[in-house]
Amino acid sequence: MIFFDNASTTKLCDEAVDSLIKYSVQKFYNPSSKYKEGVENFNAIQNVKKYICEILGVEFKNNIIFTGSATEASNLAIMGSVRSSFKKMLFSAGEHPSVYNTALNLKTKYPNLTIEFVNLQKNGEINYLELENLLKTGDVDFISIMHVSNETGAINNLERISQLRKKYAPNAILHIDGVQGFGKIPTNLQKLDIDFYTLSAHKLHGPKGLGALYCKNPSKLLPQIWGGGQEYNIRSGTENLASIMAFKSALDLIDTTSQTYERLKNFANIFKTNLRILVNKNQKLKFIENENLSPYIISLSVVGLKGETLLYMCDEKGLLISTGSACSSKKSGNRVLENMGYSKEEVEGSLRISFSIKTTLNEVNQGCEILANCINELYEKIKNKRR
Amino acid sequence: MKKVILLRYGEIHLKGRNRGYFENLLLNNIKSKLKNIKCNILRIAGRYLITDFEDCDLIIKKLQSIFGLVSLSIAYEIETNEDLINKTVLSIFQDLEEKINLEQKTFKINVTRADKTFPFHSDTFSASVGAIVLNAFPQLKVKLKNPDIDLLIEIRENKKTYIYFDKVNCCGGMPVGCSGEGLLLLSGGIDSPVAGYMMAKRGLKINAIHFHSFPYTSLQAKEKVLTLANKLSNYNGKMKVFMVPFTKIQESIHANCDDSFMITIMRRIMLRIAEKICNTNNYKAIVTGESLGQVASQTIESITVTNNVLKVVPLLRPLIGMDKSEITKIAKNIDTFETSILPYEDCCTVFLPKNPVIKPTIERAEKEESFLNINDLIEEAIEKTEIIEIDCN
Repeated sequence: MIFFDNASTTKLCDEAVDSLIKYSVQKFYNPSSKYKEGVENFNAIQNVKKYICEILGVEFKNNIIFTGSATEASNLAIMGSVRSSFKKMLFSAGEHPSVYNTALNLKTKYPNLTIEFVNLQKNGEINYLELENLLKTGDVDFISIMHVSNETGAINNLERISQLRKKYAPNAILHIDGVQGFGKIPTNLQKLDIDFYTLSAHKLHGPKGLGALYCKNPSKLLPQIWGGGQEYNIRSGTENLASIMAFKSALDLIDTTSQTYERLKNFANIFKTNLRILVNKNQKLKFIENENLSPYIISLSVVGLKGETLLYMCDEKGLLISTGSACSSKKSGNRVLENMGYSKEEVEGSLRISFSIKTTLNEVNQGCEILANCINELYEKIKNKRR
Repeated sequence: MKKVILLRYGEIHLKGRNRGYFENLLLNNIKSKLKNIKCNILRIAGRYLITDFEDCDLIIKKLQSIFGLVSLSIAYEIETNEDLINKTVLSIFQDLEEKINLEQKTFKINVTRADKTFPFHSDTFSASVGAIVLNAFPQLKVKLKNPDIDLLIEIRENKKTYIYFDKVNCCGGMPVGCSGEGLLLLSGGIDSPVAGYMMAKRGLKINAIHFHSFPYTSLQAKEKVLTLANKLSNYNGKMKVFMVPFTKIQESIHANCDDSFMITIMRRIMLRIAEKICNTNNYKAIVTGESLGQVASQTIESITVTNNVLKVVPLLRPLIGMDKSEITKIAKNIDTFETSILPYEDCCTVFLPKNPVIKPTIERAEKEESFLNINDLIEEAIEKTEIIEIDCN
């Protein structure tokens, strides 16, 4: 079985399994307990937070909040920041549902608030000119833009966004959903002066049920869950110790050096090139044209065929891929690709192939061959008219 | 005082010598509906009784989906005895006074006497009970038309009397199974579950057949059909769902026949398969959700051409004269609408022609079919059919 749906989730790595067991069975103590076993666990969690800060390129100052999911972390950043005095909040049109639907929901709670969506360019990135114009109008209190698109792999230029914010709306809060970027795309939040950054454990071979929010200044956040005061009184609930420690073990495997990045980039290029060679020349394939794509995600459209049918055919042959985003495939259409100007036919034919650090060259070659065979087989069946 | 639920049935009164059969069938349907709920189910002359229950609300909700029941009441059951009836009525009014202000309220006592050995006529006894109530609660007023409080006293042959306020409507119809079993073409759209519901209401026990075109249609589309069947089984009881693999047939039609005849031939083959499954399982009718003129395959010409393949089994179309809005209303009432509108496609759109033929002819359809290995395709599909048992109770 070849798993090329790593943008939806990843397999828990063996090292994380060991930690999960260790901190569920041997060292299960509540990190809030006063005896030394509890204190040790509290310190262990602090160290994981420090390590996350290191990856993000920031200093650890009690600024990482663990949550039950990345969705919860993004909800916390938005709902914990919004005030009744806010006039305008900006979101990108390509946001994951965890941000997009939270944005839509704000209107019901704050009827006087203006919510604006920054449209996407054809290359999947946000339209920076549109962002600039929206910022120029003033009154912007909050900006939320994703780092890497879960649908297309397009990397938004955080430096440019941060500069625009500094120039036109220096007081606006900037939240970045970094779920597909963290641990994959080299990032330095210190330089970028970002207020919030969301990340997820299960996209990096860590456990499901664990997200985190980096906060430049946590004291400005209003809690959304009340209880025993864990996570600096902002997110109560006994710490998910075992998952946090398992996440740390998974993080030990990643390296954000250019070596891994280049390897994955090479895989993405091989996949695209080989697919073009192997697929029937009469079948149109559409890839996103952008130099700035995450090498972990390939979005393509097999124009005229149904992506979902190809997904099932690949499944039968041992290759797991996705159509658009797994989180939104229960709904028809694809909001993100449509915003980029894809036609209905291109959306229906869209597929997402996503790699992880564990992906091998052999898998890339085999997976590409399976997909190409399925495309050719379906193409033949559809074009096959004996009469 | 013992609390019971009194159940009334309607149309089966009309069935003369078959009455015993209908009453037993309905009793069995009630029993299987309530099989996992603590209660006792009895049959008395002209009524059913539920006694010794705990969760009254749940039982009523379940009873309201049984075809053949017309209404029900939550009643107090006592021995038939004039004094006891009077005392019980008074205590019921005392209870009532604690809950609502009786000042200026109007009331009526309504006695029905199925037990003719009871010494008073209904009207005489109504008046005498009414007088006793009025004496004890002088703030009340008697009103015979549309009173605020309408108390009913049923004196029945089993020497028991049942006293209650109001009747709760049930869904009427005929007991499921009294017209045998049928096979519903269940697509996943809005119409077919409604068609199944309507025929179950007339006593035809429904089983379903679904044609799936995996991988051209999704796995979720199959799940959706099972969800719909599960919702239907709320009214219909236990049922079978026949999942027929249709991919090869569609590919073959696509490759060999004129595109504009795709749907016509598909439907002719579906009906042939349905009739064969009916014959093997002793199902007496095929049911579809067709509504005249709704789509190209439902014009009178298309219906003629598809109907033509059936040899013996009748094809029932309970929705044939209904508008989409009427069908949608029922779908919402029976809780299938929200599932039906989920976006999973039920028919492979990849192969669907842009311009299906609106007025096909039998001759042309037969000619197009001659390019197919039709018998082999049908045999293979039936052989590979998966049968799933559904029972929501």
